[in-house]
Amino acid sequence: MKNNFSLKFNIFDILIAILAILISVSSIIIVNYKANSNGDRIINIQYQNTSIAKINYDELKEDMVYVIKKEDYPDLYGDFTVEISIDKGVRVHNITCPNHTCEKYGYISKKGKSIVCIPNGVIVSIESESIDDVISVG
Amino acid sequence: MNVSKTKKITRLSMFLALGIVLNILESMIPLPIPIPGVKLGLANLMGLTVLYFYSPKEYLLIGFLRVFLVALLRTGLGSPASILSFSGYILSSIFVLIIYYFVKKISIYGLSISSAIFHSIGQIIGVIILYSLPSMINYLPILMISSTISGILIAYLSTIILNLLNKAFLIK
Repeated sequence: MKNNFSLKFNIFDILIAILAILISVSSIIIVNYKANSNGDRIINIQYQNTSIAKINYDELKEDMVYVIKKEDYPDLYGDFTVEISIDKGVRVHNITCPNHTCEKYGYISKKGKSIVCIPNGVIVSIESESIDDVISVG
Repeated sequence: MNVSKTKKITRLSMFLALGIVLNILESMIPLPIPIPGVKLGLANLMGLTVLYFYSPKEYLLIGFLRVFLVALLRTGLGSPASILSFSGYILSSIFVLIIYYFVKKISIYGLSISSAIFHSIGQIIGVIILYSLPSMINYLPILMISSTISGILIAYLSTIILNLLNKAFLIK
């Protein structure tokens, strides 16, 4: 057993832990602050980093279902169904994929929230209209 | 061949087997958090124990074999999941070695936290390259918090194991 390293918690460990938590908490706050700007909520459905559909959630009149078809996007495991409910929010349901993590998100409805399905390469996110402009300019 | 070498090989293979079992056990524990990549990192428990009980050489070997065997047994060699665990393993090993050799003042806790954080960063880089999802970088802050917590837990468990091992095997 090499005794050059301590097994006891010391000040440097506390510094590392505090630094890591500070960095992450501050970046979460910045991201949330940016996401909570004014404007309608836009549901952005992305496939492999390209936006394939943008739906204005605040102007939606009735519930709808958006299906990303495997015929159009062959890298999907199967048809990818996004359910948009005016009362409840947005969710993905009955997804064909190995781990089903994305279904556990449940309904999302606030700006800055997103559902990620890594195996299928799909991200469903709720963005702000104004943020969208910023991104398209940049 | 002397006895101590055989003992070392046997012990290392036991650590390796335990690492694989912990990896499988971990995947059976359902976590209520719907964030891809959040996990306990129980397999790293064996990595840390080997690093402290033996040396970085054995740590690298056991880590590599564990990732390789888990890929072979469960996820399939070359599958996305195995590539992601490799990318996490590579980045976390690099930084663990840097810290082990150059930053002498931190303890097993700091080492475990940094290992967990760099494992997450490696996996996120892997996801970004593999699935072309650059927005996954948004998950890094959450993963860093969960890595810090699990890093402390794993380090604590590891100190218990190391103390027991030192009592049990006075000779390596």
